[in-house]
Amino acid sequence: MSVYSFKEGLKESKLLGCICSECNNKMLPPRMICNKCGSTTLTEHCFEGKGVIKTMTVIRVPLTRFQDLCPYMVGIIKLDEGPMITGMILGELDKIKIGDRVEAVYLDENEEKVLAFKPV
Amino acid sequence: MSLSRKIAVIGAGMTRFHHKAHAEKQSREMFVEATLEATGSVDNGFNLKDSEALYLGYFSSDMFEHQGHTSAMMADALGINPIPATRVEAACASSGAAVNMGIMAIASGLYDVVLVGGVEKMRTLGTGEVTDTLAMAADVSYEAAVGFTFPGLYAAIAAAHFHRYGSTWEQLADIAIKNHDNGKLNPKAQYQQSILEIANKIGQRKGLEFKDPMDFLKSDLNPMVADPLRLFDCCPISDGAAVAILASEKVAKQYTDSPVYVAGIGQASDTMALCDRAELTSLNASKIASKQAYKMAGIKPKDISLACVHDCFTIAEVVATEDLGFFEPGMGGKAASEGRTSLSGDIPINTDGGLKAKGHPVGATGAGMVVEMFKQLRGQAGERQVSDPEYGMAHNVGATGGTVTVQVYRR
Repeated sequence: MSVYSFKEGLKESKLLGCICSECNNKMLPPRMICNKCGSTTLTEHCFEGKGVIKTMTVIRVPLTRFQDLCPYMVGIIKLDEGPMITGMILGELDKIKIGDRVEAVYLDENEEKVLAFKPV
Repeated sequence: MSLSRKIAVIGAGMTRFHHKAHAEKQSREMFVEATLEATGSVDNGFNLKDSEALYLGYFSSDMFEHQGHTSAMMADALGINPIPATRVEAACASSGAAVNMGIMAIASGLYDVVLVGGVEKMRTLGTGEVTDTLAMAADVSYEAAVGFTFPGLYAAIAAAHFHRYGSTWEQLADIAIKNHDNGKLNPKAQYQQSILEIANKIGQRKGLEFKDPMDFLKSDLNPMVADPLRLFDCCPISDGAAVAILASEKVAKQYTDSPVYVAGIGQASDTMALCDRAELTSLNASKIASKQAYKMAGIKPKDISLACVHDCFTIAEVVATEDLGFFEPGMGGKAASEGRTSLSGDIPINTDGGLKAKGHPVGATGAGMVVEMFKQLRGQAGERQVSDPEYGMAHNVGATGGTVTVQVYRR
């Protein structure tokens, strides 16, 4: 499992991480070594992608490749299944806040899929 | 952990950090300028050929100047070939890490005299391209890939800090005001004006007059960059270089009667992506690196007379003063608003203006902090001199804390 497999997963609207066969630790994005117990016996795991916004911001000075979307929201989502993940956040500016429930969606942007979350 | 030999800073120098002043210079000219100031600061004189190795921090001459192998180029420009010259890259902590490498190299017994420094020429690119390049210090595949910028990541830390502790944007603004007040007293600072002076300069063009800097900071003239961080919560884009000359104790005595000693060092790493951290309101690498340095120096946070902390954004200063043990978690902003971190406070922070006012040529910042330590601990900091300091701390952060380096210096 690799960055490549994660990105390939996004193309199929899947949130692909991995699960440790030794300690059941769930990791997203996928890793080659378990970040809890150090095991290398990891298998692919597809995450459901539902969770809560832990922190967020509105980007008003964007990366050049996201200029067209600006202003846009990004944040860190704590998934119900455990790990936290970084994503764009969709919805009305000033309405979305920390603690809101969201679910993963897969955005087409510059011929790539971008992981995003929308309010549930 | 301990250092097997006592090590001292015998000289230190820097260019002014600035966005325009070095327009006609490349890294090599800035680095030579900083080095010549460092050699000039050695009390009994210093021949550059006494240097046995160079450790050079720079983040990305590759992107900024389309030039790699800058470490060898600087040794060449200084005319000190064939000594080994090594690049140290740790994003914005590149030269903090280079300083630690130099200290370790002398402690190993391999060398007695080592040059450490940093350089960055950023103003070759426009703001958009600089934003893109700095985002390379975050996890490009997972953080920049969803649109996170570097200010965005610190804004996320700020939002989490506000949410958890009830700290406020006004506290951040107080830090910006304080750091500009300090920068005003530093001839090497990019901004040597108070925020009120800048406000009225900008306001004049719009027919506005400000009596209170806070009114300006809350106005549209201080636009939002990434909520809740506004323009004046962010350090500027800067060009600059800084150099320190390190020596083993036995050799240091030949060069000066007033060396500044390295009392302790620390360094730690953390996950690249912010989302993989147990806490979003502190940098664990800062806590670990500073604990190592305190232990090595045999002191506690209360023994520190002044500190240069990595305020790439105002929230970063709040978090740093908590992580380094100066204030309880959640109390850093309040302490700043109470004036406890100002020049006359109980723990002056960023006496040189910090990254906010002094400027932040990313790879040169950690070495620039050593220049301030060298001046302050020798009583040569002029108008911004802290009264009778004994211990000073330099704290340099790479990106969102994927790298943190700390040194404790003693007079």
